[in-house]
Amino acid sequence: MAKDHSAAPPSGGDEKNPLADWLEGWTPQEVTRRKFMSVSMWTIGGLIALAYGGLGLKFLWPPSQSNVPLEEVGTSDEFKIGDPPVLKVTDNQGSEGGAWIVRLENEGLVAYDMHCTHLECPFTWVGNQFACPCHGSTFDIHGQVTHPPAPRPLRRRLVVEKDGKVLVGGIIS
Amino acid sequence: MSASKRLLQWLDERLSIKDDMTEALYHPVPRRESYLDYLGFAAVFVFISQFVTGILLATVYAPSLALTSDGLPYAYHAMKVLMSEPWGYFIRSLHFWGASFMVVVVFLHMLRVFYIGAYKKPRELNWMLGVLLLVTVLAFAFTGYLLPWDQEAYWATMVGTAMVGYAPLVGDWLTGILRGSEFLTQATISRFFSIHVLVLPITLVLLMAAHIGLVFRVGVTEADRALPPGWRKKHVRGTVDIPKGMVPFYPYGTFGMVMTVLVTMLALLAVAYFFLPEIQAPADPLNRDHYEPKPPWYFMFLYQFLKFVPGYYWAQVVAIVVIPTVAVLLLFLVPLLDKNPSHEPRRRPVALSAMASMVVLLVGLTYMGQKSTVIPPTEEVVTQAKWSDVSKIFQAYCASCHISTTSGGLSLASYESTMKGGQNGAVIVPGKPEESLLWLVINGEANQYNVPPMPLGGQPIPATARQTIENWIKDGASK
Ligand code: FES
Repeated sequence: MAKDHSAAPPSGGDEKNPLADWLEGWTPQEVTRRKFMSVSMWTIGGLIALAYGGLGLKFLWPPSQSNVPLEEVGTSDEFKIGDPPVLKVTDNQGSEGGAWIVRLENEGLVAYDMHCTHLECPFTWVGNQFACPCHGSTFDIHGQVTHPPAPRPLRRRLVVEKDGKVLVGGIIS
Repeated sequence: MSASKRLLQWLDERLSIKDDMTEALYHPVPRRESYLDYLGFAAVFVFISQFVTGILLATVYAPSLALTSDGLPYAYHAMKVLMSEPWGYFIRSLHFWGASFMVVVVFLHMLRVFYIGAYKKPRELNWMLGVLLLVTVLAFAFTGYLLPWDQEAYWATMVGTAMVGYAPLVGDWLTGILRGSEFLTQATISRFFSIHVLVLPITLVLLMAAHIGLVFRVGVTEADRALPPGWRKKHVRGTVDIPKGMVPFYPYGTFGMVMTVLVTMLALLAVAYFFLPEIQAPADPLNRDHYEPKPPWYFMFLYQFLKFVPGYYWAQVVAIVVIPTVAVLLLFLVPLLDKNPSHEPRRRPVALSAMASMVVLLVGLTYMGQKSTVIPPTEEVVTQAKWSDVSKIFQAYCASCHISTTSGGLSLASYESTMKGGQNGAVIVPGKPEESLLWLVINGEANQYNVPPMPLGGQPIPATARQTIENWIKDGASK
């Protein structure tokens, strides 16, 4: 006698409660051939999708920024208190980046990343402040915002003086 | 039976498409047609044009930043070489303008559909697919923009990807995924290229197939009104049944489509031929020549809008992430939000005024953004400066706020109005530049007066021009 595959699977318990219904489905006597096949299909399909999704995500994951190597950008005597900030070229994973370097009275040598904290346009030193051409933010010499829309002070980069040389590293704030 | 008929029959025995083809070609459409209803087809045409020219460009372009013998990144070099050859230049021009055409045509198509209420039941899903298509088109434009790797490309992408960074919690991570590095590098251009030539074309083709398929499935709105009541119920699929006063889609409607395509194509060819797109200096991550970043015109409204946002972090999040996301979501949900069943423009005051205000807002912001161009500095310092010398500078750098309008009560249109000053009093103190508010603001030194540096939101006026103004004030600010 042919088995009737079209019949609805026997449902257990309260029909109005889908969760109970679903849980009931897991008790051994309730797992029909039909349910088994459907659950395995979705599980296997899901696992395949998850595997490829994970693979892609792992591959595209942005690299860590924490260990940017120190780079020499000049000598200590280039930067004197009272001089305007100078833009120095740094490496940015194979293409160029830059930092504005200035020696301040209380803070010592400071390096600001060259990208505005609003939307990362390149600002310049104009007159007595940093000004961004994109939406008009300005910052004072300490990196504090003097005119919006920039929401945060300039980002500082690690700067080290060693044997009369100035070395710049990654973003620290 | 003729050979072609036999071939068709052979195919139909295997594919059973005869009924569907009959439905697609011979469904009734109103006799009086509006060519605006074919804008969707114009969009399909522009996409095909983009597809063809894109494939041609891909045969000469590679998203590589390796330096060539002329010291330029390969991607930029490839564009230069392409543009040195007339046909290559024309193909690039077609693809470049095609992007703008796509945005315009899709936008107009959407306005038309909105105006005639074609998104209402039973066509809600097709409107939603349309919104997804719009987003895909904008993603195409955004990712393609970076590929020539010139100054404009580089900085527009820097800003665009930085905007993503304002998304709460996942922002920085998303920016990292998009860029593949802290700022823009080889990883970025490779990613953008893959998205532009692989991910988006597949997405667009799938969405478009569903979008067009649904039109055939549900029929066009205009037909609904012209069809006799109950026609759809009685109609037997696969039969030709054209009610009185209507005509079959083929060849009446298709003729209109072909004409629309022809007009669109001629316009595209003409624009591409007469306005060859420039390429700027190669991307300079240090921006040594002080390029002023600006987005392409179709993102100008966003650029301009951001200038009005206060500088608090959360205000930025709202402006950059929340408002655009909510706007797209609302657009997507239009068919569910608009419960008014009428298609009659006069009976839809709310929907149509919402549409009109959106259009005015977008066009206005685009225009403002477009106009806020700063003319590049060329002036020499003028020592014995007169009003005519400084007036030229005002025209170049201050016009949009202080000549065509009088922001802060200050008009720089004439000598008299300039000397009169604005709501903060006189802006020129003859003989004393350091006491003249105008001199202070253009030199960014008026913070203590609570006046932001000028030009607001723009690149500072070049030092030569500022010197000219200073000389003019020093010499007594004469006429
Ligand atoms: S990016 Fe600097 S003000 Fe917007």
